[in-house]
Amino acid sequence: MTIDLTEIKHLEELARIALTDKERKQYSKQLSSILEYVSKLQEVDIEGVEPTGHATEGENVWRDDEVIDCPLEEVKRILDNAPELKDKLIKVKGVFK
Amino acid sequence: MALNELSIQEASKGLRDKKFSSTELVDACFKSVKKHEKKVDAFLNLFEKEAKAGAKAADEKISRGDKLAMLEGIPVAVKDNILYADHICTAGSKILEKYNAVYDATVVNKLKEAGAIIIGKTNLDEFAMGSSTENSAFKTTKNPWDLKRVPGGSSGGSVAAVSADMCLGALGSDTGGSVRQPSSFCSTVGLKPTYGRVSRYGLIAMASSFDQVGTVAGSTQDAAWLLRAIEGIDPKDSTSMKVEPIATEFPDENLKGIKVGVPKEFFDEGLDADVRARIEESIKKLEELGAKIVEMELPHSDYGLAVYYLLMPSEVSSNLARFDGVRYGLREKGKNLLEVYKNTRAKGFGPEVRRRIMLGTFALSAGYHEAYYGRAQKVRTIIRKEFKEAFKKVDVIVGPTAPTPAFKIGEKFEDPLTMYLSDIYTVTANVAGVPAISIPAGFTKDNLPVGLHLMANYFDENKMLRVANAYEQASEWYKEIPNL
Repeated sequence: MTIDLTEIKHLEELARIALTDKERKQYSKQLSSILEYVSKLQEVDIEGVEPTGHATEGENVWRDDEVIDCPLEEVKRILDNAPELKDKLIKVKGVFK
Repeated sequence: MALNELSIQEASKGLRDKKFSSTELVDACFKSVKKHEKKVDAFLNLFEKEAKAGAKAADEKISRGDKLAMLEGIPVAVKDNILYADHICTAGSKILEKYNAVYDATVVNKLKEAGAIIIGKTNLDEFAMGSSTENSAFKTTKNPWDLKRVPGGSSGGSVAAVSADMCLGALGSDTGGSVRQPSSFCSTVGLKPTYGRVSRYGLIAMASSFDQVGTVAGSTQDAAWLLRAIEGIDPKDSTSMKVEPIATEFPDENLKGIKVGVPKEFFDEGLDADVRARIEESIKKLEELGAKIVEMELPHSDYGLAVYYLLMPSEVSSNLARFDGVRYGLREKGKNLLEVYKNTRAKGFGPEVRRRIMLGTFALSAGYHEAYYGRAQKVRTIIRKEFKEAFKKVDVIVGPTAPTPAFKIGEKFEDPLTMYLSDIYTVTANVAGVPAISIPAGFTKDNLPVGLHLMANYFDENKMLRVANAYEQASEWYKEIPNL
């Protein structure tokens, strides 16, 4: 399996990362060689094997649906971390345009 | 011996016996920082003033005769992907260069409750992705044993800080070997608990089904002591579990009745000859201590790295979607929202992080999901089963922590696959979720440290620590310190 430049451009869109032409070429080569390595998994017989999605075999953990207050100093820190504020709201480019 | 060279146990006793103060202990650490940090580059941030105030408060508690917590007055460092409220937390990335942590990670909260003094945040590969700290957006940490070489990674800063005696212990994180591989490179002890023993709340997520906070210290006993302080079930992490606590004393150095498994797969042709020799000597030592050596096979362990390098990037691509320039972190300009995302992530993430996001996006994308992600999840099941079966027959599994000693800075940087191979022996513990530890096992001809790797059954850390401690006490390799 090789990842050509068309595939790289498609992944760029999915992953929301802008790449330069030089990076596209480099990633195409590097990702292809990593995929070649991981292709050894094709040798393994997985017939009838269930997938493991997590490292524990725990069950659902429940809690009551209660509001836990966020201390004001935490609220302040959250807002201070925002790139741009308008009043107490985080300002972002429009989603629908 | 200088105070900063003491073990946590010795320092705690000294403080309680009033042989010295926490202020003197913290001062000794900062003296070492001043002497070595320019060469080693272990830290991204240091909190000298705060640490001194903390030491003063601890000293007052001691002189008043208050009840003391388990790490009272002990200076430690924390990897910079673990949140410490109201302190910058970069994860080694430009995208979080100015991010001020909103809250404390559960492990930081527990360190504070245990009375520990956090002296600084340590360097790491960006978002903990790497095996050398060369992927940090800010600096490359150097190996205190040879400054031309890498300390390993991704917890290279935490490990180098402990190795250079700039603090008595440190927290790291281990997703595929990130506390153990650097510990092997720098002659420290790196302990990765069973997945679920320690809360991940406030650890910046890399690959959630593999990530665990681990401890770094100068001895097994200290690493266990630190783990005891931070372990436990946490309502804020639903994968954390209530389990038998970590033992903190290991009086028994006799290993009679212990079965040590040695898988032949861990000694293949990729293994450095000097590393192999040290590990074979260690196994002989375990036998002398009374353990029974059992040759065994773990046929699917060979696939561990391939499973890891599909599942981990898949989880990475999903976890790092949150860094989009909207609510916090770097925001780059763009004509529309989509461009803001793309430009922010292009500028904010370094090459390795972008590479893993791209790889994970591929493995999860329509048409490839089942062949890559799905297949890897199934092989993961087979590896877990193989480990469970193995631990019915043996108590611990040993081998080398890493296939080579520390490599030169720049040596593997251009070739990601070669870099990934440094994790070949450590990743299987994360793939299976079992506990593992790396302990000092001697040196190569060039005086570079070698680490012995031990794994045990789920939540059976205490047996693993008992074996590690017995080896350590008999070999005394852990006492060696670098000549900086």
